[in-house]
Amino acid sequence: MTAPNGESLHGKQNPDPAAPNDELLPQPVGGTAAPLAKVTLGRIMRGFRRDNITLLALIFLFLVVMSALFAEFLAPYSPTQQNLRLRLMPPFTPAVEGGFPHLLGTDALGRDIFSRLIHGARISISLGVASVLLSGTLGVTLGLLGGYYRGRLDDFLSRVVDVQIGFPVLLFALFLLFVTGPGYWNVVVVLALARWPVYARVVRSLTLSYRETPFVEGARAIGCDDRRIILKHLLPNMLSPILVLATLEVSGTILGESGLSFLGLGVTADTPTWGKDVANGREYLRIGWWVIAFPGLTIFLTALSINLAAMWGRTITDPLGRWQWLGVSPVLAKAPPAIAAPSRENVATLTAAPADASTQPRAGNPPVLEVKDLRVEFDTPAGVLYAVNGISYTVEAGQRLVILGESGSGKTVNVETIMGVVPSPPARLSGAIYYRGDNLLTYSPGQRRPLLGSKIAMIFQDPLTALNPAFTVGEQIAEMFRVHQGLSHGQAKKQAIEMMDRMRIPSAAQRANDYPHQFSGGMRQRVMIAMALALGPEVLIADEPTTALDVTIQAQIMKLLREVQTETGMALILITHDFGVAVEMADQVLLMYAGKIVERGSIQDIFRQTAHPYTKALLTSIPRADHKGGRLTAIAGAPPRLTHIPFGCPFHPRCPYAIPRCESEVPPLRPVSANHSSACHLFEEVLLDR
Amino acid sequence: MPAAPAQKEANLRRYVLKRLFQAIFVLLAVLSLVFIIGRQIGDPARLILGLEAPEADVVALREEMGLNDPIFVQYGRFLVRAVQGDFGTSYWQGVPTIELVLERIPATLFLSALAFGSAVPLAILIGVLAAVRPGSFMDRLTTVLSLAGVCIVDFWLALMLIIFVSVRLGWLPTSGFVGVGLAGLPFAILPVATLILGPVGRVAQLTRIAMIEEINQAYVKTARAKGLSEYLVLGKHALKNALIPTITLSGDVLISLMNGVIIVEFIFAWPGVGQLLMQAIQRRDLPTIETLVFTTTVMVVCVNLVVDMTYAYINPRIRYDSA
Repeated sequence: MTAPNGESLHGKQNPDPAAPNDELLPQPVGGTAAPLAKVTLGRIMRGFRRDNITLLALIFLFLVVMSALFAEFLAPYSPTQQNLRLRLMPPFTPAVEGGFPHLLGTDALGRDIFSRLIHGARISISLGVASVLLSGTLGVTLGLLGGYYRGRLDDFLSRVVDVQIGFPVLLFALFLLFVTGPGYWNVVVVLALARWPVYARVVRSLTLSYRETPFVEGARAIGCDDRRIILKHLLPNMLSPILVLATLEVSGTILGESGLSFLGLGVTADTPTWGKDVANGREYLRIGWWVIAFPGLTIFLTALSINLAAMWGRTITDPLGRWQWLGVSPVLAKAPPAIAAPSRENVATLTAAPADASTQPRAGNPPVLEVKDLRVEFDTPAGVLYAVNGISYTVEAGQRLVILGESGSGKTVNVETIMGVVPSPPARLSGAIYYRGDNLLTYSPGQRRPLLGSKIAMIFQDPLTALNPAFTVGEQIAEMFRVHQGLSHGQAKKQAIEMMDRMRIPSAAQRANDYPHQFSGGMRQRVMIAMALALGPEVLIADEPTTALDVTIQAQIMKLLREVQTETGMALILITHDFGVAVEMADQVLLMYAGKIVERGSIQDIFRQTAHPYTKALLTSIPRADHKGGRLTAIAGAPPRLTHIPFGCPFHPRCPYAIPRCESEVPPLRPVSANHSSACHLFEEVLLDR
Repeated sequence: MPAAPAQKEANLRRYVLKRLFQAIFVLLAVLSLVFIIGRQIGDPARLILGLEAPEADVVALREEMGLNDPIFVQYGRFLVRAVQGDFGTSYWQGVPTIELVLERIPATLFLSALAFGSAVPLAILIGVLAAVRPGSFMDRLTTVLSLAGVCIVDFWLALMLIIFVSVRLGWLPTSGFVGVGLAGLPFAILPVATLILGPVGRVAQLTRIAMIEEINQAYVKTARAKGLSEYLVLGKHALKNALIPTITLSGDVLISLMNGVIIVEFIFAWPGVGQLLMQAIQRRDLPTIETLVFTTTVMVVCVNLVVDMTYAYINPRIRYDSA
């Protein structure tokens, strides 16, 4: 039995019944899973064959429940039948009178342990279920009322729930049982009183989230009274998380009951319980390990089975999880690839980049940065994602290069590859990225690191998420000086404040001790720029640095970037989807579409001698002040998914100029004039068409 | 907008005051509960004299103990005494209960400190390694530990450890206590091992989930683009954020340790407050039990205060802007 195998099937799991959080609950799925097939018996059987741990757990639970119901018929011996000739017999001892062998041995009074375990199931299961019914009813009712009516009641309940969840349950239960005396129903009530806050907390937060949803507001609008809304609209929607939680709680209650029985404050009657049996064996632990081992093992296996069953329940009450479990793969809307650490495998592909003739660096005085035939592909569940498809460009010192494109054109992946922070699932890279003539793709992460931040630096789109919320901005800038230049804390801090001052952050010395969330968006991006420029890089990559900011702040940040670029003479690669930004900033413009460069040239060339239908379409879609009253034109169709890039010219399905050749033949990047090229079979025609 | 230093101070002070106020509320609530359960639901006179005592004796003792006074008089008297730390005299030992309890605290603190001090760092280490290398041994171990932690009952685990480690292998003493300190360590190993299984599983699992979430944040990409080593990227930038939920949970860990010590001290004959509780229950010593409930509450409240303060320290968003 290998528990970890269950992981992939159940996904996130939190088997702790004491700390139910939102992860416990099935997350709503955004309608992406179309039920393609029916739930058939065959599919269920195959599901169980794949997930055999759950099957074993369910079988074990079934046996335990059967034992609880029919103990008299199933147990080979009476649980109280003593046999002083067969005291403390080890497992598999044959019976004297030729009866059923003592499978699990006998205890100090010669009673058959196996039979006692079968009878013990009755107390454990019935008490667990009874107590959970009580605590569940109480907790769900109070949680619903608190969450629905809010106000004083809710405040009071929340406070009580907080206090009680933060209090040692066992101490509370022992104190109550000491006062009331032990006994079956006392244990049921005490355990219910100890556990109801768990339901109240979960149900309250669910009620709060459902309260504002359209279906509840709609019900209220058509005049449903509160009772009807709570019973007919709220409760049914929460049923599956409540059931999963209650299942877990049965396991917790069984463990609690066994603990109380062990300490002698549980059920008093003569009926055997698992906890009491463990206690009975305490005196004989030197000579009869089995007397303790088997009752405890039974408790463990029961709790484990219930937990596994609850996890399974969580999986199959979630629509997506259910289809996955049944082995039916629903057609999913393509999810963006998760961004994770560049893993070891990824590093391996990085170093394995080939260096054939087409990817040799330019001879002579190498440019600061040269990208040659770069390709980046990702394996995703929806197929291979072709993010960057053979692009080449150079960046000279002091140059301002703007890369223009819609989202999904591969422009960000392209620069992230330069920084070595490409997202995995392991990206496949080919081509070359030369920094002053050295191919970065052949560097190991350790070799590349000294260049990152110090020679090539990058600023990201959203400064709020790109800065670490847990460190002061001063610390985050100072880190650059400490790591790359080995400065002391004091010196680095001084340098950091100086950088912030240069980026015109007011009262930098005090603000260095503030955290990112205490800054405005514009100031945060200034911090980001200060960090990137701290070590005077030769190339600064700015990935849509103003997209997340207000319009007025955007202009200020662009102005700052232009000023520092002129001041330091570094190269700037600016990524944007905004033609206005390109006009303001660019020496050179690259237009990207579906991971390829479609047109490149100076900004004047692009504007005055537009040589690609895509560029033309983008330009006519810009609202212009001098075209008052004119209609805004949008580009027909949508940008291609990078998993399904059209054959031939990727733009042909949306292109008004398209001819049959565009569907079959990839247009190469051809020179239009000295420093201007276009990847269109028909650029001559596009040029003439004004 | 930047908060001026004076403003920050005021916010911080308000935060602390709010927490203190809540702590007092909790203490008062628990005292009231102890009073209601001990005096109103149960009958102390009957508890002292036992079930077989003649009714007349019980009535006489009730009168003597002031249990026939109006309930508010009793409650007021109870509160005033409780605040002074006076919960009466132990029926069993004949000394003030608070002395009995205080005498037992060092042994329990020793055990809890060892358990907490080993569980949390160990769990964080396992959780981080599991998050950084998905599918690795540590990743599987985290799943197994977290599942085992909620399914194995502690009293059974303790007895199995005694049977196999102490009795069969003879490596460690079966039970007992020789004092707080280095000499006491061999006696503490099995109790600590029993205590920490559940907490390690829970904290490791939470750390793993939190860490995976943090690794996917944009600031991790920034840290890599800054040219930091993976050690700094994960161990400094991601970990500090991942620790925020872990710290909240470590408060729960301390509380579950307080549960655990009752059983563990009982089994390993460890003379701490947990063992005292079981002895008091066996000897029907209500004042001692009440004192234990109250002192435990004080400890829980203190733990929560410390956790809240640590949380505020490590999470700057709480530190200045809440309250």
